[in-house]
Amino acid sequence: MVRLPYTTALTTLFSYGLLFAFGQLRDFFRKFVDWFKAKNVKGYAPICLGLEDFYVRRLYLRIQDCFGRPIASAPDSWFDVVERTSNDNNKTLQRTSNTTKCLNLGSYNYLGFAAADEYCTPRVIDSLKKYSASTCSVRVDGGTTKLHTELEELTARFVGKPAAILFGMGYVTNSAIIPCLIGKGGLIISDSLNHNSIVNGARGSGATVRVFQHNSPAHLEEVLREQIAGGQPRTHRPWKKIIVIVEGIYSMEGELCKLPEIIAVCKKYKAYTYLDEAHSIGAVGQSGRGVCELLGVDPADVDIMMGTFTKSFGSCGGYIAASKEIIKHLKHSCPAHLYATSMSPPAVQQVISAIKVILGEDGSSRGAQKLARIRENGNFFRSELKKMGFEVLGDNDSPVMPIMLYNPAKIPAFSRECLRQKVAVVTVAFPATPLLLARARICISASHTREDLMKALDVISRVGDLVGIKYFPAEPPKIAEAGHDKLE
Amino acid sequence: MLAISTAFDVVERTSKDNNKTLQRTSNTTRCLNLGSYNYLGFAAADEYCTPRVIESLKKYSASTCSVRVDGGTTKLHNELEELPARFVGKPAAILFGMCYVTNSAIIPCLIGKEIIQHLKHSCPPHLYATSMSPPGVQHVISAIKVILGEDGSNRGAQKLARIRLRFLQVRAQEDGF
Repeated sequence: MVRLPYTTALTTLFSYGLLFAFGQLRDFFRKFVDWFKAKNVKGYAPICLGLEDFYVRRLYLRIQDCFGRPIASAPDSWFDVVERTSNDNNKTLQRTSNTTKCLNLGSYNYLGFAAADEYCTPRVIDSLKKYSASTCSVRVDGGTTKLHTELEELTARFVGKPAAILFGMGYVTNSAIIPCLIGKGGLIISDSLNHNSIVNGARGSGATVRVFQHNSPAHLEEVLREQIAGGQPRTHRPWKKIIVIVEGIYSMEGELCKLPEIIAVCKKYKAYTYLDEAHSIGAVGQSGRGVCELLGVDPADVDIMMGTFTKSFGSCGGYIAASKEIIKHLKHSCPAHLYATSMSPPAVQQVISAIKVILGEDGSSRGAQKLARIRENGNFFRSELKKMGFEVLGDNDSPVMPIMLYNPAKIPAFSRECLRQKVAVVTVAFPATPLLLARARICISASHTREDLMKALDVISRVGDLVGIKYFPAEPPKIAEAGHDKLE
Repeated sequence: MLAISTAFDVVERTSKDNNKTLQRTSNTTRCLNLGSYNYLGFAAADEYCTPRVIESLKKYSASTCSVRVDGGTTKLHNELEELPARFVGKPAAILFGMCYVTNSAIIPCLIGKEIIQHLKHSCPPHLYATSMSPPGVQHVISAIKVILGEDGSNRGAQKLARIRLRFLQVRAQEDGF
């Protein structure tokens, strides 16, 4: 995991402390000024509590130009970033009509399907003419077309499960499914770094939630033993069921799940497994089937497989793949299936076409080439960053590679300087990460060429020197020379 | 004498296994509808609402296919957020495309251990869900205007008076209920 150097920890804490002190000072004067207005009703707690609101007002707004940048073209390897201006020190931002062509290192465009594709796009246009842009209906009413049925079958076949169900919204695939699978009297054991949608779903279920250390099968076993021995709170009766929830690739860490070990522990203690492959499906594995394929796990050993179509497939929505009985249960009880607008038919067709390209059913080898290229691109980029001395999280074969920044001043410095040099990166900070562990998250795409990656490495290296985020020594001179030769 | 006009066609179904499964037939029966939440009668075609909905369908298409914070906000969405706020008498309002989620996703944003809870910045259906369909938005705008009398007639007031069920109450009393 992250090894935080002591000097970096001290300077980061000092920086946040300074920002906090100045923010509190300004809040004090703001409170003094507002006291005369006396808007508050006595006795009521504020809806937005002061300290929780503080971060946004006093820290986030100062650098909000580094987040949520609008773009004006499809998020392919290069795209147009809209320029914004501010007249009040970033409190508000206005868009201009100017754009900058930038190298895109921020989108989850793992296989390059986000832009027009020779196989997918004509079929999507045809489905738009045939089915219209939206069913404007829920699945159980008028919202199921032949495309929806076809994609459910194709998804199940692709991930290796008997059945699947689609949802129009990736986030809700977790937050609305988990309450349907488990409730009061059940136990959810969740990885400490699981996504917010899983956290919300787990809380909404009413089951007891326990957390195990990130990606630690040993600690998972420890938690399972302890919870099974202890039983339900107060009554100590046995748990009605236990579900362990993990992710295939952790999007803030770029790390692959230790799935074989976790499956072994779950089988030993008779716990169900729920695997969230939002980032890994389509992006890893010899034929894009995700971490099960990559790590040699039989999909039959994973009870519930969740994924999204928003990343590798260039579309939207998500799926759950599981046994026929579980899918049938979800179709009767899940509010996202019963009440939400169904997935847009052209978006469904986009996923169908993308999966067929990946499987080679489009009659070409483009899918295999894309998968090979994203693996090569990702591993090349990661190894070069490490050689330069950056602290890069995550595993080989993962297309997500966070570069640690730590210090709050380096977040905007890195982001703005890279943008100035035509490289668009995504910086991530609290609350998406712990306060001290700010980072830039690079996402590699199969559509990046070697020249694109070379340019990106050159810019990131220069900006890294300028900003001071090469926390490790560079590779020894001999190899460094070789790297230098490659860069030229 | 009030004429109750809300009738609809109910599809007939058959079963060969004591209702374990049901099959639809192509036959329908015209029935008086006492089951729908069609309180003010806007569920059917309306002289004021329907032409405006059709116009918005042509102008905006059936769906934005996008989330509110991306490309899913039209002038209609902004107008409708202002209108319910005025209608119910509050300073501001926010729209969601799915009425179930209006409760199930908002309450976790208002209370809990979570930090930084602002609906438009942290509420999942605002950030991730497809925005409300523009013709659906236009229909609500038109319905509220009819209720408020801003359509230039008093049909809204008449609808509200009629929903008070005077006719049914009188008949119920006459029959001794």
